[in-house]
This record gives sequence, structure tokens and C-alpha cells, in this order.
Amino acid sequence: MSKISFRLLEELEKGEKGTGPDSCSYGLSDSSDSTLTHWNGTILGPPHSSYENRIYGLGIECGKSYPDKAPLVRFQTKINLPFVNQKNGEIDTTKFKLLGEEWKRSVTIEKVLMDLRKEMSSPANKKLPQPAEGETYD
Amino acid sequence: MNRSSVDKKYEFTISSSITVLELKEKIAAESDIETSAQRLIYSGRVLKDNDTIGSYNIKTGHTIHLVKSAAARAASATTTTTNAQSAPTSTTSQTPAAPSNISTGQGTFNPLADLTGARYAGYAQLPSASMFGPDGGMTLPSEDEMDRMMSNPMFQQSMNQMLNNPQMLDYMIQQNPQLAAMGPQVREMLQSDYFRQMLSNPQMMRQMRQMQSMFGGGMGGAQAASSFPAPGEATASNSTPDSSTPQPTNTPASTATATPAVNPFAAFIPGAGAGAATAANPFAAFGGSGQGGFPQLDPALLQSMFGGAGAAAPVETDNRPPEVRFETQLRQLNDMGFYDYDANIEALRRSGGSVEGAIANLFNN
Repeated sequence: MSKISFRLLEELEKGEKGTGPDSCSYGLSDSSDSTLTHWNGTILGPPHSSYENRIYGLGIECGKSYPDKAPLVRFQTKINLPFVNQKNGEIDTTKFKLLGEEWKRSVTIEKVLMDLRKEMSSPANKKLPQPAEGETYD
Repeated sequence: MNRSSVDKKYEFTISSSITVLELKEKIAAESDIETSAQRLIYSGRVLKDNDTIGSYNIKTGHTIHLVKSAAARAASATTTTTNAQSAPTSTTSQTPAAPSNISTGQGTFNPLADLTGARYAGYAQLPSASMFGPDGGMTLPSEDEMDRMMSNPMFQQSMNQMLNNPQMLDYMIQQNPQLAAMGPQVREMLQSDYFRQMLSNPQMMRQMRQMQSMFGGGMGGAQAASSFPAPGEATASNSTPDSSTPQPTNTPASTATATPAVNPFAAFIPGAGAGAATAANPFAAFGGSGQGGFPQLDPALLQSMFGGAGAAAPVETDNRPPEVRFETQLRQLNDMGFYDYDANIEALRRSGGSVEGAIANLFNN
């Protein structure tokens, strides 16, 4: 068994206790996953945008080298954002740089979710037409 | 158990064998949100009505977020916290029905929120006890204190950071009619190296203060300003404050009156309004000293910029619930191992949002 990531344990505790912001939530996909690899995240769409009051589900995969390497993040709920692949919900890390060249060890899952939410409320993106609520990528 | 109505949090004792729908019914009984409008999120997942609470492995102290669906009323979000008391069969959840939580938390740009945020916490130390008069009112920070603050590299850095932030500049200009009236040059002026140097150079500030006291110690900022001809005569006429405009002067009493203009700098200066007034006066003196670096630099304007109702700054954020106002600080405290929510809030309130102050507070109790 690989060594337990204390960093991820900390993040897990915070996600479950919900001490972070109310607008995002995250936790293990399978609570018996002792490698702490597969996570779920949700983002509540920011107010005054076309994402308002929708809940966006994401899949997050923290590989063995996390947090030295960024996690793989993809949207499960369909969303129209310039950096989201419309076929599978994957995030283009050359456009969403926090998961690309701007990744740092200090960035957390929570930070990723909050920054994605920030993108939703950016002037360029907040009025983008969105797919019907509740649709998901296969 | 229902917690304080300010937080609008509810706690329920439930068994882990009940379904999500049953939990929603309990929430509906406590709040006015019907079950069909409730969406519960835990650990990054939307809970399904037919699953049991236990199947999601929700444990002691875990939080469930509750989002009211759009059908009911416009975007409102709440949080549900579960607190399993002992065995996994008993779970308590609290549901704060605070619709403002999310909309105020992020999104809109509020520089004042930043000022109370962790980024600046600790930079502006708590005012020392000597700053409070016998009646609890603030007096001016002593020269020494001012010096110490000005020579603090952190303080200088945060000043610079603020002036580098175009949004902050916009905000300052927008909040101050006099600045707005000056047009696009204001921005250039505020961003210029020279201006910044002035702000961040302790010697210069000290010099200015000395100059100010030379030109009549107890004089209020407004008077000081008008007694010197402004380098920019053209703008002086419309922006020279007289006694009828509520400009703060050196007396603690008048700094307490909140004028609508918001002064972002005030929060950086320990003792908000009082300190800001001191900061303003040196500039007033500077304007008259003949070093007219900026043709547009009107001392009265600077005075209002820096002194413009510092007291208003903290007031602005006060109407938000504490968990929003102190969101970042609470998180920091949590990270440091202070888990008592109520105690943390109380300590942060007392320290005015400073994490350092709050910790001192927590240790003392």
C-alpha cells in the first residue's frame, strides 16, 4: 500500500466537516478508498450568472504524485465554458492554468473548485448559454 | 436543536438509517423549504432521496450543504452540518437557512472584505490599549506607533499591493466623488512610482508629520489643507472642504461620524478613522511644502481620500453574518486547531477580524 497522504487526509477532513466555503463541496467518491485517489466535487453556480443555482458535479483524480502534480479534474454535469471539452467534460489545462502551468503544491481541491466557480462569474463567461440543467457527460 | 437565529442554523438528531428524503422532511419542518425544493450536498455529491444517510458514511461533525432549488425562490443556499452524537445511529444536522451566504461570499468585488480577510490580517495590528480613551473612544496613535507601523515592511507591501490592484483603484475612485471628478489622471497618479514611494517611505511620512505639527499642531486636516495654496490651483476651488462637509478632523468625536464615502486605507491604519486622519494631514502639509510633484495633487483631495470617514469601513461589512465576514479567518483558525465555532467567532469579533488577535483571545480564555 502506498503511503497515506496526510495532505489529502487533511483536505478530506475539511471537505467532510464543511469548514470551507458553502459554495463548493468535495469528498471521496468511495469512502473505503484508502488511497484517497478518486474524489467528487460540486460547485454551486454563482449568482447573477447563467450558472445560478445549478449544482455542477465534478470528478477529481488525485494521482500518486499529488500535490506535486495537479489532479485530473473533469466536469460530470454538462457545462459550457471555454476550457471545458464539450465531449467529455475534461478541463483544458492550457486554458485553465491553475491545473496546468500555474499549479503549486499549496493549491488544494477547494481552491480548484473555487477558481472554477470564479471562472463562471467572470464577465467573459457569466452569460454563456448553458445546456439544460441536469445533463451529464457520458 | 435550533441555533441562533442570526446564523439560521438548525440541528437535528437523526439516525443513520433514515433516508435522505426523511432528513429533508425534518428540515422542511424546521425551515420553510419544502422537500422538493431541497438539494442536499455532502462531500461533493448530491444526496439521492432514497439512499440512507448511513450509505453516504456521514459522520460526526460532517457538513451537508443545502441548496434551495430555483423553483422555490431565487438562489439561496444553506448548510447542513451533521453531528453524530455518539454511535453512528445518531446524527445531528444543522441547517442554516441563510440565503445571503453564497451570494455575499464570493463573486462581487468587495475590497473591504479583503481588508478584513486573512490576507491582511495581522498586518494592521490591533490598536494598543493606549489608543482608547477613558470613554472607549479612539485617540490618535502616538508618533512612535505611527512610525513603527509605517516602517513595517508588511504594511508597505500591502500598500503597494493595493495600489497595484486596478480594481482597488477603481473602487477608491468610484467611492470618492472628488477623485472621480479628476478624471483619468487620478489613476495614473495613484499608480505612479512617486506617489507610491511617498506612501511607503517612512522617513517621508515622518517628515510630513513633523511639518504638519510645525504648521499648527492641533489643526484639523481640513483647516490645514485650506491654509496652504494647493499646487493645482484649478482643482482646489471645488474640492477644498469647509466645515460644513463632514470631513474628519483630528478630534476623535468627528471621526466617529460615518460619512458615506468609504476609505479603503482606513482599515490599514490601526485605529481606523483616527489613524486615517493623521495619515491625511501629512499629505496636506506636503502639498503646501512646495514640492509640487503632481500638478493635480490637491491636499484637500488627498485629505478626503485618506481621511474620508474611515469609520465607515468596518460598518460596511457589519451586516453580513459572522461566518461570511470571517470566512477566511475561521478557516485559518480551524487549520490551526481551534475547532470551537462559537468561541472562534467571538474571538474574531473582539479582535476585529485579526487572526493573531483572536488567537491571543482564545488562549486567554
